[in-house]
Amino acid sequence: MKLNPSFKFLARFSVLGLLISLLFQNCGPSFVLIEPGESALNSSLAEGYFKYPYSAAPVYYTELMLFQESNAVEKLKTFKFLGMASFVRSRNTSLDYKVQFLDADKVENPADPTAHLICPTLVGTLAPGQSTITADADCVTVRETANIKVVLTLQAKGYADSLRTIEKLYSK
Amino acid sequence: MICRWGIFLISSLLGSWALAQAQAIHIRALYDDRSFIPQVLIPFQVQGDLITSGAKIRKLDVVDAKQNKISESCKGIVDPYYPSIFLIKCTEPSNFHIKLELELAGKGYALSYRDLKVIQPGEGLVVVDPNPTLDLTNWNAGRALYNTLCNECHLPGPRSTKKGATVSRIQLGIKSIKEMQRSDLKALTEKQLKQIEVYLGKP
Repeated sequence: MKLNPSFKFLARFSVLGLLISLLFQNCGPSFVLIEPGESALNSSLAEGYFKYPYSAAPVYYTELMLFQESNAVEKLKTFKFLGMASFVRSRNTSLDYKVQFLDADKVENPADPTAHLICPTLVGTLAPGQSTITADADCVTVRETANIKVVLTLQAKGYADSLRTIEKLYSK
Repeated sequence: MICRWGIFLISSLLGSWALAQAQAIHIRALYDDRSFIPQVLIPFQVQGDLITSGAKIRKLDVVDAKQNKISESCKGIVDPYYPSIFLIKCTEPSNFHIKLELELAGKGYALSYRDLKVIQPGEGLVVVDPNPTLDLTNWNAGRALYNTLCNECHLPGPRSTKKGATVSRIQLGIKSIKEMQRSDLKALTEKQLKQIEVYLGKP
């Protein structure tokens, strides 16, 4: 079958148009792009949706989360802990960790902050590629407390300069 | 005619595949999938020749896998310190894809990471203070001030009768309550009052 040359031109033009529209669909801005560097870290990023927690280039990405049964409305006695850690420089190394749970209202002696441990300390190693730290059983404190300080200590194996301590305070 | 279009199509597909192989770019999650839970900033890294050549992330879309449109519960940002790392945060359990566009020397490159899942860590659990906003430095300073100046009358911090007191409330007390009209309380700066407010926290 022989096609008219102008029909062929139109067909090719339409296919090209279709490809271009498919390629550029959904091109509206949908994320925040900022250039690297501390000066670029504006307050809206730190305080807004993302609450970016690092004030310098992070050595580890970390998160410490406390959970509680939704019906427990006041203070903390029983809670579940979930922590995350990833060493930015290499994922092919294991991470030693220690997690301490302290009664923040009772930590009066900085020389011995462990005097007010309220749950068993978690100590372990994350294998390369793993990031999640969990308590074997839910933590039950000896008393109800309104403020818990969670202290996570991390050390990447083979990186002597990678020892870091991350502290977070949780209130209920 | 059909044959010519077929050859054109196959060559284009082969060309794209060869280009992708040559560039060998991919996205890798820096957390394992048990860490994919709501409220967590989940880091991902783009790796490959393009990145080492200086390509920048130009566009990042988080797409709802069920509705196939831009997700409303998950958003992403490029890390301010590492141009090859981006962070995704979801406010609720979600299934999503990531679509990324990189740019190098005016050319765009697309790649995607599909079928990611953010799940709740357990039934009926709620996050305690999902992103702690209390800053420890001010909290510690506030606790020291409170223990020195306030707890004799208002009980120690955990049992304080003044939980939730704000700067203006404390200032009003210093101005109008006889027992609080002391020189050490009057000397408190706005910053110190703020630190006490941080320590006293929620009512």
